[in-house]
Amino acid sequence: MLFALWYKEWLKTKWTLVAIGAINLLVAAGVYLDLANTMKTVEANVVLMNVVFKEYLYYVDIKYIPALSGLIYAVMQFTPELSQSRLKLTLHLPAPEQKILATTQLIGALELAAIFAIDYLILAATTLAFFPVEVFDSMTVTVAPWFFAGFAAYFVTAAAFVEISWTRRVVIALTGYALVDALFLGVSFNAGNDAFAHAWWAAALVVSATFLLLFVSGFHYKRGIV
Amino acid sequence: METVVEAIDLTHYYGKKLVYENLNFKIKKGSIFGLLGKNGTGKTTTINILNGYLRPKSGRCLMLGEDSYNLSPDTKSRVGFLIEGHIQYQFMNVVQIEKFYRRFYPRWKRAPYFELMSKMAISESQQISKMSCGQRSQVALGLILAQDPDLLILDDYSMGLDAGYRRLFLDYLDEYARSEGKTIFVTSHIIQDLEDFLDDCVIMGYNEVLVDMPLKEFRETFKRYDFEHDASPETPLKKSDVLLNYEWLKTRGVVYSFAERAAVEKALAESGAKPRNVREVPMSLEDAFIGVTGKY
Repeated sequence: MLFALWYKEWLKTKWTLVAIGAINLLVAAGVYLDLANTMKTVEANVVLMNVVFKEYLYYVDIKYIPALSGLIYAVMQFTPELSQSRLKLTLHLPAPEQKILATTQLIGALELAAIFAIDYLILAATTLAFFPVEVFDSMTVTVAPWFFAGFAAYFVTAAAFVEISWTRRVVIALTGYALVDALFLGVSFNAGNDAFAHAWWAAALVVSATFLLLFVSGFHYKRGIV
Repeated sequence: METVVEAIDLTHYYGKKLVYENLNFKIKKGSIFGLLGKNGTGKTTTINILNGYLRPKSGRCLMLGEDSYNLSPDTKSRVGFLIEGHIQYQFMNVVQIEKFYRRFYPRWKRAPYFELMSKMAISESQQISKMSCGQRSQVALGLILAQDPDLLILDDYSMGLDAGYRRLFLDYLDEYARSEGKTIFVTSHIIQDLEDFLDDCVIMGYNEVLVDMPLKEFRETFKRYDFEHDASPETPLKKSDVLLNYEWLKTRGVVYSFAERAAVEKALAESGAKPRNVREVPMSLEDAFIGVTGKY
């Protein structure tokens, strides 16, 4: 089942994945090129001072890219399923329905994770090429919630798409927006002192919980309009 | 005979709008069953309940012995489902979609699918999104045949198809079902196509079942009587067990009934219609359907 569903999702979303991957790659590469250029024109210690004391986030361009990627991917993955009730075909496959939904969503999350991993590797390599490891640690703590926001945006959008009631759809969307927005709070070089650094596991837990929203929407979809 | 599908006291509402109440029917193994009715009488609702996409307000439906809302994967693999409009994954081509589905079905048979594609001259690389409605219908049919299900549920198979494709679809299905002992549940708006196809039928009215019997019995017992009259055009006939439905024209009238002519003449006379020359008129299945459900 996993291979077959992966095959289907690949056929459906491959161009979306390529486009999202290209945008992420370009932005991450842009972060490197910008910083490399800055390092050429400004003294390295000045740049470091700005990073440490003036919260100069040389990687800020990537801030909203994961969330945007998650949103776009969910739209492109679930629009064909929901148009003309095509999800009925998927749910009629001889496998447990919740397992089908979970697998479909897991495939999307893994594909996004692959893209986010490339982003992070580029940011990590960029940081370690120019700064000491303390800046690398700070960068990791700062960008982690942005990637969490990418997954949250994906899970919430998927759940909102499958949900059949407009009222519940709006509630899911607003809750998701609040959660994603919260993940963009509090970033600075001293993020190690911020709440997120101490409670990143709580954020990870909340984002993981949004994975389950699709099951609730799937239950409503199957039950039908009442 | 073994029952494949059984609807037991199905009742459903959309909000406060009643779709039907206490709907009961059985589908025998190896039979071809038609659920007929005008738009909005609950055909697709019934199919959604059968496939577990809708929980009825009350009552239940058994499919191959299981509650339709909680079908096991094994039972689902024995049910072929055609969605209204021959919907399939349009981002796949002919080969890709077969490759996708075959991993789910233990009894998968590739040959019937590719034979049908070849017969229709549909190339293997053709994308489903770029197919005509007729071609898409053959892909959907071919996939169901390859699945080799015991029960086929076809929701408005005729939607968007021209006469040729409709005939092709039914001929293929008919041959397949009769030779392999398959059970078919079908809905359609093109009633005349089903004339020689169905074994049993249920005709739905708004909120009620109007007919539930073998098609042959319905064709033999449901009759149309034409007559002339001198009554005013406004003369209302009272519908009854004998006068099931009627059309009242200026100088003539039409009555639909399961009763014999004498009983109809008597009921007409009692209504004050003063009919002359009451005669039975042969009907097609579509005429009979209109006779039962009315024109509007």
